[in-house]
Amino acid sequence: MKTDAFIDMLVKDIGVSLPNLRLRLVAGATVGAAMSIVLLILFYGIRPHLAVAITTWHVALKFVVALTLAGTGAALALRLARPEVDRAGAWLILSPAPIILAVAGLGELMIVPPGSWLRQAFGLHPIACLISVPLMSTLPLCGILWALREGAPAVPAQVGAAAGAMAAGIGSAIYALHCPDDSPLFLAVWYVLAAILVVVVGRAGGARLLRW
Amino acid sequence: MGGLATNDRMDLTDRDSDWARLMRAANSGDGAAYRRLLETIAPVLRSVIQRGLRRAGLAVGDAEDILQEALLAIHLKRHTWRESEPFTPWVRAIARNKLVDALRRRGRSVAVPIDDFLETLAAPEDKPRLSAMEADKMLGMINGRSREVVQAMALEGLSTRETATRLGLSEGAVRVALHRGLNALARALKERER
Repeated sequence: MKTDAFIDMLVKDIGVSLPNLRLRLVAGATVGAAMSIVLLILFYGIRPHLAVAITTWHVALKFVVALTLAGTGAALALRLARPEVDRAGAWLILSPAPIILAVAGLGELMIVPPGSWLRQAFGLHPIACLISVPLMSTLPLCGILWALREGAPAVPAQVGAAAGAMAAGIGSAIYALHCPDDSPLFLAVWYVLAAILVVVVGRAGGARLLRW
Repeated sequence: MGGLATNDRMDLTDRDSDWARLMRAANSGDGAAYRRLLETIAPVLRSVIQRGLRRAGLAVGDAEDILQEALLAIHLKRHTWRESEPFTPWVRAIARNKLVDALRRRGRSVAVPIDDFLETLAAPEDKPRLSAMEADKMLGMINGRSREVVQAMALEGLSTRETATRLGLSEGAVRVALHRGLNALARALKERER
């Protein structure tokens, strides 16, 4: 087929409205999150007195860090979904959540006596957290990757990792509705490990699903 | 000589803003602007691709095939260009991606420096060759109604309305079918790599 005719065909296709990546990302993540919340309510249950608990800085911190990670992960994914962006600097977008958590963790170390650091860090259910956060992140990750298929990333694995960070933020916030372990030290160990796991899965998913 | 260099730079900046203006017009539905943009970009891309193939030690015969793939990607991914950003780096990134894919498919994984993109001179289309995407092969990658629509519109050159009349469809249905056909084509071209 001649390239002129090929161009002709493309020109005839401009009547269809262009996809909006940002809207798709919000839609995909929201549907995934809603389904995860239903699963959490059915199989885990919401922690008692959530409305009261969230007024303590420990519990509020969980949501602040998780939602910050989700928001910055979304911003990073949208950037990396464009082919021409400078990828090296882009990753700095993710820094707020780790910084907030590090500051809170150091604060906690100063408040809590060294003798109970380990007990605080291990909390009540470390393994449940390690499994449940990725579980709660799975459906949001699916929705996010679905949305990002409309992107044109230079490196699909990288936008997949950003998708993983966003999903880990959402999954952490959802599991925090149930999780009784509130110490920032617990957060800094188990939630972080769980988030890394989700990022690794997102990276692999991106490499497979986001090529174009 | 400094004056000459400045003039050159001016030309290049003009070229980018020209392309960006055409793309913005296309995004708001101006088909003529879109055609002009693609017809202007195509020879530049062709020359970049030919040079990439040559550097990898490959024959330039496949350039037209890769060019059409790149044009299809530009078309289907044009929403990832932000209207406030320069257009050339975006086109260059898309072209690089498609060229790298094509080289990888041929067992070459070479770095493709196409930073001199703007300065590249246009290369004319050679006489139609077997290696340009063959119509039959292309149609074979598309199914059902989309295939009929692509056949009518791309190969026989019918308009949306003529195609709608011939196939007994609404114009909206024809547009949707064509768009699905192009997406299917892009998917099939991508799967081919495996």
